[in-house]
Amino acid sequence: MAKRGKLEILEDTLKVVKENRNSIKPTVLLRKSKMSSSRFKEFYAELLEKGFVDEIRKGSDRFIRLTEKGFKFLERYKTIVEFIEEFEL
Amino acid sequence: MQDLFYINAGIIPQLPRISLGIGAEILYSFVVIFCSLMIYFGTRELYRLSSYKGLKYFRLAFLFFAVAYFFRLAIEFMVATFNVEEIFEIYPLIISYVSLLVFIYFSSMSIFYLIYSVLWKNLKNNSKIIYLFHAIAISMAFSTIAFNNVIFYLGLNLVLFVFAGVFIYLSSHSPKFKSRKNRFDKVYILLLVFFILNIINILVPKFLEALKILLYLALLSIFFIILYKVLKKSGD
Repeated sequence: MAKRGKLEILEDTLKVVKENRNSIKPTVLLRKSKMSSSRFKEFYAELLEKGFVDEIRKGSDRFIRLTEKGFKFLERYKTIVEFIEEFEL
Repeated sequence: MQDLFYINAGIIPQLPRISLGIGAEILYSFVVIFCSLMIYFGTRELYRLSSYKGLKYFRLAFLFFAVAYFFRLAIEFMVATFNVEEIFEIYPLIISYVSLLVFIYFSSMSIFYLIYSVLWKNLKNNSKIIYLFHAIAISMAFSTIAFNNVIFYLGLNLVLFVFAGVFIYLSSHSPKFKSRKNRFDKVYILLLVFFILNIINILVPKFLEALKILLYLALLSIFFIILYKVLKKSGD
């Protein structure tokens, strides 16, 4: 299997959140993301820092949901990839 | 008939002297600055969403093109105002030095950023190379002023062009891009050729005088092609 690029991983992860009615537990996302625990931790911190997702609390549980930027990324993902390929970046 | 007389007498008639005038220079520079800034701002959202490094360097290349052309226009304006042939004839010399330093630094860096936007994936293990590019651009700017020698500067740009052309060609012909239908490397290489000729034109105005209009039209065409593709692909 070819190694996934960073943008592809980002798209896959955000898609998982979206497909779970925009509300998913971190442990479930970790399982579905096909990443190691340490890699996921690092990646998840980056997602929060860059504002693609945020966390909400329902009782004692934490849930992840997409922000406006996260939705926008999914919407524009194809354009971004095509642009990068067109200009050989 | 007059030309034939000169040729028979062993005198080669000179190419007609073409003076574009400051109005045309302002218009030309304005169009290049406008196109460059449109490319920079037109890709802002894609970069904000992706934080993709290649996109970052691509955008910086065009931002630096815009700044370089702003200083190019300033130099042209000063040359016309002081009614001199070359920038080094303007006194006090500090104005010439500073304008030229800034112009050469930004124009060299714009070329380096364009190269790096294509190359960065192959240089992932050596991310500090961008600092080397800054050092080379600063050295080029200072050495041009220190030597104040046309041949030296032409040689320096020839080396820069060969370096840039070879890297862009090799990078875009790597197996990674083999399946691609639309190669963009030819446009990049043409952009480099015309941009370097433009830099030479500002330092050695007489060198390309007869070809000036063609050179300007060629560079503008390339900028329009890139701008069109950017706006079409970015969806803005």
